[in-house]
Amino acid sequence: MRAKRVSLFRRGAGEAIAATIAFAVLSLAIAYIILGAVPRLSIAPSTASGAVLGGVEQLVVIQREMEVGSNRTIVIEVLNAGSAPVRIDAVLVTVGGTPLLVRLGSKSICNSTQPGVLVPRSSTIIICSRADYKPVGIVTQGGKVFVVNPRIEALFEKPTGIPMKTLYGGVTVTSTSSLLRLLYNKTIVYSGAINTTIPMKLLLNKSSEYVNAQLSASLVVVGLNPVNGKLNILIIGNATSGNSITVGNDAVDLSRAGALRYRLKIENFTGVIQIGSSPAGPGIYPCLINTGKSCRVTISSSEPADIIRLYTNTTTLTPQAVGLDPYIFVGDIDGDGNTETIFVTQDFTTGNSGSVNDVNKRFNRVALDSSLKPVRLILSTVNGSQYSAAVLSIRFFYWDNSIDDISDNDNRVIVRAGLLDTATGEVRYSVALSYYELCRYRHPPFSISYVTKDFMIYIPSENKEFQVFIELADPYSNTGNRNDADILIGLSYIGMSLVSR
Amino acid sequence: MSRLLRKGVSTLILAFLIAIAVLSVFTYLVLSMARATQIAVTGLRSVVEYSYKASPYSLALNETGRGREIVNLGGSDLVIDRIVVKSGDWLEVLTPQEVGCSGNVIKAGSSITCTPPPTCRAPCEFIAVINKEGVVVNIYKPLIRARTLNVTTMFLIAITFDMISPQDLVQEFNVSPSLVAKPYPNTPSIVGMESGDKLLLLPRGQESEFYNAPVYTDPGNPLPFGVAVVGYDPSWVKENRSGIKIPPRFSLLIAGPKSPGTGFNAGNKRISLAENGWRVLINNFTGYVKIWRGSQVIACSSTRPQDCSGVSLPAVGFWYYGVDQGLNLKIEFNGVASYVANFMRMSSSQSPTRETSYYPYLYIGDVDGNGINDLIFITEDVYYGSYDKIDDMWPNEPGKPNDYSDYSTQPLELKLMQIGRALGNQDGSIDGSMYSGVLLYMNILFHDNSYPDVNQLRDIDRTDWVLRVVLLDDKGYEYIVREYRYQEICNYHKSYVTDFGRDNYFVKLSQTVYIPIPGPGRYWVAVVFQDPYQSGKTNDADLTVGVELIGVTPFYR
Repeated sequence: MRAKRVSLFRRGAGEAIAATIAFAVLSLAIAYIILGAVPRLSIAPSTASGAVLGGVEQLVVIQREMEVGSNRTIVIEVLNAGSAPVRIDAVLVTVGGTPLLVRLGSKSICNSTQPGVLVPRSSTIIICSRADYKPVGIVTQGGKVFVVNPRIEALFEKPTGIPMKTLYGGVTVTSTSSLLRLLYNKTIVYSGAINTTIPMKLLLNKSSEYVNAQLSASLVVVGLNPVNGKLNILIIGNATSGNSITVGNDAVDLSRAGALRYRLKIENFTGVIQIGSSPAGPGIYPCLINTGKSCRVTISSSEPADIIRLYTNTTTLTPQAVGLDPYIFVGDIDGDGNTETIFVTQDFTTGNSGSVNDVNKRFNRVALDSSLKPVRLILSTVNGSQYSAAVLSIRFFYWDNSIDDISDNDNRVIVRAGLLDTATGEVRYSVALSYYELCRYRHPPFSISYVTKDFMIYIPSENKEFQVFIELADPYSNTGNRNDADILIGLSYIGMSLVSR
Repeated sequence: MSRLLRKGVSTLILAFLIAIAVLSVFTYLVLSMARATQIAVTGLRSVVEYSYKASPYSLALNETGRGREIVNLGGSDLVIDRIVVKSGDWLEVLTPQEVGCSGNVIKAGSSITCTPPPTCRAPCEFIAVINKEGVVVNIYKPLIRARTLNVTTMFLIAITFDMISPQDLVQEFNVSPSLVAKPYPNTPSIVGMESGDKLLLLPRGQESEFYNAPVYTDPGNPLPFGVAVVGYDPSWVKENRSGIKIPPRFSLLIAGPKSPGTGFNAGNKRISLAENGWRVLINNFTGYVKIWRGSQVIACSSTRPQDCSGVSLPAVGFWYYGVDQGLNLKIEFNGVASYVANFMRMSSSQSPTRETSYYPYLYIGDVDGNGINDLIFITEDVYYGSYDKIDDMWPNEPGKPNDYSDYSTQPLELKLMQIGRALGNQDGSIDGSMYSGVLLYMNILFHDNSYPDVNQLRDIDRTDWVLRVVLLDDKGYEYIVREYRYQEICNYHKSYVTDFGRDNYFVKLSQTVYIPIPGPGRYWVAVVFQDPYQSGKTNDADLTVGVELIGVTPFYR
């Protein structure tokens, strides 16, 4: 009966122990599960605090160009504009368009000038040592990405200069033929341009021929064609005995044909031109004006010249209209690579208010040339809805054959520039140079002195096209001994700056 | 049985106690973990909520001078509660009203402008905006990056004389009102001009404003004159420019010596020109204007083209010395006008200051028909002369010839306010810390009555200026940049012309003047006129000086 009691007790204790053990196992299992879950739960807070961190991180990223060593590279400047310190972990770069993430570090391709923590209001510059790596953004330790933000930058554009378009200059034109395309009225080259007291006819008009001549000249203009290095020549004078010219197979006894006056134009000449006793280069040779005597000019081609035109006097005694061709010359007369366009009505002598200025003394015939139509060049077009004003810069030289200027000649307009209504041809705005101003830019006897003037041109506020023009005119034929000036005017450069509306 | 029970109970109690102990421990652990998580989750939520509230707002700052423009680049309207401002070295939190803002709501995509009062000390930087919900929104101040650029056009400020009357010069060019006031007799403050003999004043009753009243010279009796300026009326120039194609109207300024028996008609009044020399201004004239030379019409301009058939030379322009026997010019006009002023030569005792103003001597209109008004200052009245006589005096005047010499007591200064206004300053000044200089293009004209021209430097041998370009600073100093003296500018004109149509008194002169600006500060550019030559045999010329167009290009430092 004791054994029974003992086993009963033993059974009770055993049950207690079993229960305890079971509980313990169960508890451990639960504990393990719970503890296992804890790390996951604690990720949330750390993520949350990371989110908190990312939430207040505010960085501004700006792309700059900097001198690094001897090269200019693209770098980014990172400014901490927020209120929390930030650590930059990586740089986002583009390599030929493809994005790449580069970790920052001392041994990395990309480095920060302020490694470590970026405190609020401070900045750092991230430079990548490879030139093809263009940094565009950064990634913070908080996991937030900041890239170059175009809205944060305002470009302050500072123009480096005033743009001036060359309307005439350099090699815009190289010969009279190329000047044609700028002429407003192209028919005036052949007729109706100049009223002259000694009319001329085109005696010879040849192309690609050898030309040789011996001439007595009063005024010679020699200019370079900068494109091909050949010469353009204009020889003005009245022929004396022994003067002759041979073009190809045609020989002309100039002493008969051009005794009153002649003008010889040669374009693209290769060979020797001798004025006096020495070979002549580019320039203006005012033989009769400066020395009182004509020069002896000798021409011999070594290659065919492109164009040879010889104008000689007709027998008409009354004034007649002729074309512009013999009065216009294109060439670089001072060897600076810039061709001048010269309009010359001067032939022989100078004069004053007591005499007619330009006279062939040998035959006592006045050689007065004046414009029937101005030499008008169209340089450009502008639209009145786009531009409100223009500034024209003109470089030119002027000479006339009057010794006593304002006593001899009235104050007529010689140069005019401005705007034409393309549709109607009406002059809408113009500035002008009149005789009283121009005659002060020249010094007797003859020399070239350049003048540069700027003109402000007002563009009417109309949605239409205007042509920018310049025109030259010799407005003096004569009234007795007055208003008889002949001129020589050379255009060297015309530039235009536009002002947008 | 009870012993069994006792043993079971003890086991139960033991188990219960152990259970409680274990459960307590684990409950505590779980709860504390849950609490920690909850705190973290709550914190995250409030951060997320805050970020959500803050993210629609994106503000950028645009500073111009004293103004601060806050631009809302975000997607939601922002209601400002406070603005965080750095005033001097202190951060201040101010209401929008305290900062001078135009409102307290910045709509999405729009902006407000704040002009902080001087109490906000420099740099007066706007740091952040706090909205009604307590969200702090930082204001991004754009970092200015200079980039050089190849541009296709230049920047030029064009200044034209787009006005109707000389009195408009006060508003446009900051001219002192007393210099351009209408010179009624006994007006206490008019100054600027004096004369060799009698002053040009505008007696009451000699000025009429009409609504299209007939204004005409006596039929068959064109009016002899000394000097006439005929141009397109400035109000018509303005209308014409806006594209409305209406027939032209004219403005006339005519001066002459005493002409007994002559006159013209305005409204229902007869304007007699028999007194001591006259000067008449007719504005907004619709009709025809003809210039007679002897018995022929040599020039004509009209509202109706058919009135001028057969005459190709326009009357628009300048006509000098009509009374000269070699010229014998007369003017005929017939039409309607809206304003006629008949200035009369009166004793200087009629003016308290003994001076008159520039008003009678200024003409505004388009004198060459190119669509832009010209501002003309003309003191010439009647005739010409050389070093042996008073220039503006007509020897053949009936009775004793009068001295019509007029001259300045003070120069007429036109401040080019348009430059500073175009560059952003309401007071018209140029900021010397930003700009190192300006380039001025001017189209001007000049004429005088010293004739023959070959002797003009003998007649006018005292060197003095007629036109100046000056730079003014905010301390009252004036720097003379370019001075056009008579002896330089007189070369470009021709005093006396007979070959009308081919010969020219003058053409517009184009001048370029570079004006360097010394340094930081406020500066104004001014164009100044005067007639410095008074009366006598020499140094007595009367002048015509005009400006058509001024172009200004500023240069950055």
